Amino acid sequence: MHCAASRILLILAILAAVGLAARPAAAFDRSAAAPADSGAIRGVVVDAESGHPLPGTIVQVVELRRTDVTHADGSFQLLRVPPGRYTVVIERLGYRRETLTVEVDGLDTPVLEVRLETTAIDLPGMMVTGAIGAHTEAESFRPAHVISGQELTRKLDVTIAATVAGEPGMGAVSTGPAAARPVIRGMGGDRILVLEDGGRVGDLSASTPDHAVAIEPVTAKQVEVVRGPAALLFGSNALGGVVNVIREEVPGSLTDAVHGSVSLQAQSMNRGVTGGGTVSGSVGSLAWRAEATGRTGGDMRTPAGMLENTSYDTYSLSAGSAWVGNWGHLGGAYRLYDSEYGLPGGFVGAHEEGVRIRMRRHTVRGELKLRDGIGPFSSLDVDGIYSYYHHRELEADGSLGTEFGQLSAVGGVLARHEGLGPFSHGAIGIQAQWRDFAAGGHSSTPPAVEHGFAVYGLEEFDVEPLRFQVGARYDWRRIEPGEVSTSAGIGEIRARSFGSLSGSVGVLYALTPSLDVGVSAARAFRTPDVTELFSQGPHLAVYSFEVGNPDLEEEIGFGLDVFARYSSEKVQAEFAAFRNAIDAYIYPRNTGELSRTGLPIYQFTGQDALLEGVEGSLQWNLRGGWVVEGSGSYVRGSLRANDQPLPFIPPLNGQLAVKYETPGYFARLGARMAARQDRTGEFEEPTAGFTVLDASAGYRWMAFGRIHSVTARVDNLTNATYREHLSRVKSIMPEAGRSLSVFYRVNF
Amino acid sequence: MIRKRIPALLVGGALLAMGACLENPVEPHPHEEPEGMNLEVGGVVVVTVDEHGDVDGSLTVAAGQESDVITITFVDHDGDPIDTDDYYVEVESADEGIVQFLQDGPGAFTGRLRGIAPGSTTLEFRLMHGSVGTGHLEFRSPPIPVTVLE
Repeated sequence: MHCAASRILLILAILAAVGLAARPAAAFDRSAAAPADSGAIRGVVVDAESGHPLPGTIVQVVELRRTDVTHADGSFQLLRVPPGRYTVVIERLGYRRETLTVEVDGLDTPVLEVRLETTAIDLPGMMVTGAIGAHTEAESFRPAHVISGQELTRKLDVTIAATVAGEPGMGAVSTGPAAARPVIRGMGGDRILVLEDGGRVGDLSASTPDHAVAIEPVTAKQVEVVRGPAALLFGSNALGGVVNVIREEVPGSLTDAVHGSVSLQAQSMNRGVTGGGTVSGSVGSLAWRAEATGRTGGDMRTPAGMLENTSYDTYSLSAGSAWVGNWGHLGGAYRLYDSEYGLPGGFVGAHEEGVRIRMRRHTVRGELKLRDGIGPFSSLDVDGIYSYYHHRELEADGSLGTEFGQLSAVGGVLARHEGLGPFSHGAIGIQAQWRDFAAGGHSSTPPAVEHGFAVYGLEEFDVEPLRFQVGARYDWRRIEPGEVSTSAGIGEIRARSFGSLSGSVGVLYALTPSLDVGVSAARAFRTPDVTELFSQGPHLAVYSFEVGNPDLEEEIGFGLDVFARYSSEKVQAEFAAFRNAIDAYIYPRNTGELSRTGLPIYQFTGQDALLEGVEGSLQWNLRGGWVVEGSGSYVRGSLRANDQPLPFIPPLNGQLAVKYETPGYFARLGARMAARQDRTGEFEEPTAGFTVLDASAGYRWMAFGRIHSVTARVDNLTNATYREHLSRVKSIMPEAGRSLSVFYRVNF
Repeated sequence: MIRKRIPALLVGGALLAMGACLENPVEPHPHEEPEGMNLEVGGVVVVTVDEHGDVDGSLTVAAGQESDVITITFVDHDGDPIDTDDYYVEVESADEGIVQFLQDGPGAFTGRLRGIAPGSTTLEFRLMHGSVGTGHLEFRSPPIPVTVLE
């Protein structure tokens, strides 16, 4: 048995024991009073039709980031709530989300009775991604989507990229099942920030497609996707958007019982097994959280045969704690992520047997969130993340090919305000970052140290009937190679500094109570990285000889989004059109020449580019639990000088599905479609169009005071042979064949 | 209130301090990229291949005879020999009916020519990284002219 599988079983056994030993959530003592200087939010959640209590319902106080889960009698309570007005979100699988505004005045709060109505469609979720603070998808000034609950369970896959790939505007560039990274609107690499609880994880997935994202998806509470330039909120380089995996490693709320979940997933396409568990609780004012995951899988099966050397073995451990009080919380967390996976071979100049990659990440994070207010600011966040990352690429005989080491640190201060002058909400912040990068083995990239600093501000205000959001950010970044030298191949390898201003303006207008329209314009920039500047040699894992350019300038992007959102009991829909003009867009251009060792030579070059397109999604609640849902995306990427196509742009694609859902179970049948892509970059292979059928079904039940769910999914129902355009191995193998995946989760 | 937060501060500070003390796990060293090749006989360079792929010199052997030991050296951009740990050499004759190259062991960096029959052909020398027989190509020479004399 794989070592990881043994670890999975042991850890899950421990977590299951903790979960079973945890007292089933008991009803609260309604006579218990909160401390004199604070109030409480108490209530009971029932089914609107039957009046039956709904245990296992999540109750979230948005402004405090505190949650409780209803007990067996449907009751909940959150103590030590400072006086104020709060948004309380109540949600449960199969029911319409309820959002209440609750006033806490320091005295005992009346018990709320919340009646939830069943619904089959997914309503706009609550997002935490962003500087302003928590808000719904409908309030976002950018096209955005939250994947959570049953939708997340249904979509969970081996990687974060594969989990979100079906969303409008989304794709995934992959080199086998384990190495995949999100693509948003045709943009990838480090133009897409992949975050964990809003922070960068310090891996090297953005630098090259063979490097996997070092984030485990199975224990994510929700995944938030923001499409379009988001540099203002998250930092330089986010020209394409953000994928934020929320799991709250640093627990910010106290609970009156031990809560958690245990998940198990098995899939047939590679005989993969995944296990994950989280457990959290409180001791007095100390909240704690622990997590363990393990994932193992063999080579991927396709209709054309086995894709050799694509197995993986991954595990991750995390522990966090925080002191929680009325004033906020102060805490930290540690995470270990360890993975070994294979990249297939068989390309010109590559190994016949491919390459195996071993990576390990240690991340420590600390955060202080003050809710008491300081001067004109209603809250203050101080956070810092430090990551240690080591990555080794091993050749077929086990010898070291290339290795990378990276130390990185990011820290910042964010102050939010409410109702300051003409502004309804706002935030100002500063951020600093540092990175120490080194490469060894057969690498041609010199070591480098980077420093960066940023200051930003974001404000929202209303000019009835319009809502505005404006912001500005200045970033400065310096990249210093370990040694200044002159290379005959690429020129002078020297320190480079970059500084630029980003900005955005967004407008939302409620045409009707159900229909919002918006426009968002943004200027963002991206600095070239060490590889793009200073590479000069082979990179076997991606079958290329890379030639950098030390004179590259930063990319400057101008993005425009026009969107409309419709939200009603029957229909949820969003449509967006976008245009991103990027000056000095950096990409590796295939020169058409081969190196002496037969590797295709790629020269990093900067040319003006244009990416424009449309995307949309629709959910239509027919009646009686039946729902029709669909989405579609199209992006056209070109060099502005000659309209030559950019490489690795996804074709027109979409999904259409019919779903039947009740609070207890669901069934779904859908089709994924993509058009032929023959608008390709130089020396890039075209791909044929395809239609692939998928089916899924799930069942939820209560047993022993705990919520259980089972989801079965069959991907590629007809075992069709098809190739995703963004797959880097499409020339040797198609995508996976028919695959059955079964996912079980118990929440306690 | 501060007292209650001391444990969290200490733990957090310890974690951050521990992280701050870690060194980069990779000790960078410049990877020596082979850009040329020399063939030596008896300590004398008889064939050179420069970084442009231009060949200067040729090899000769009499038919039915073996040459003196030929030493294969790969050089970097500055003409300095590269470290050949974890490397091996493959040699391929374009026409084994005219000449063969006999290495002093699998993947060896030395060997001899064996003239089979009078004529002219070429040899290709390949520097491979890894274990003999399973490595990847690091450098491929242009065709090296060989003449087998009567």
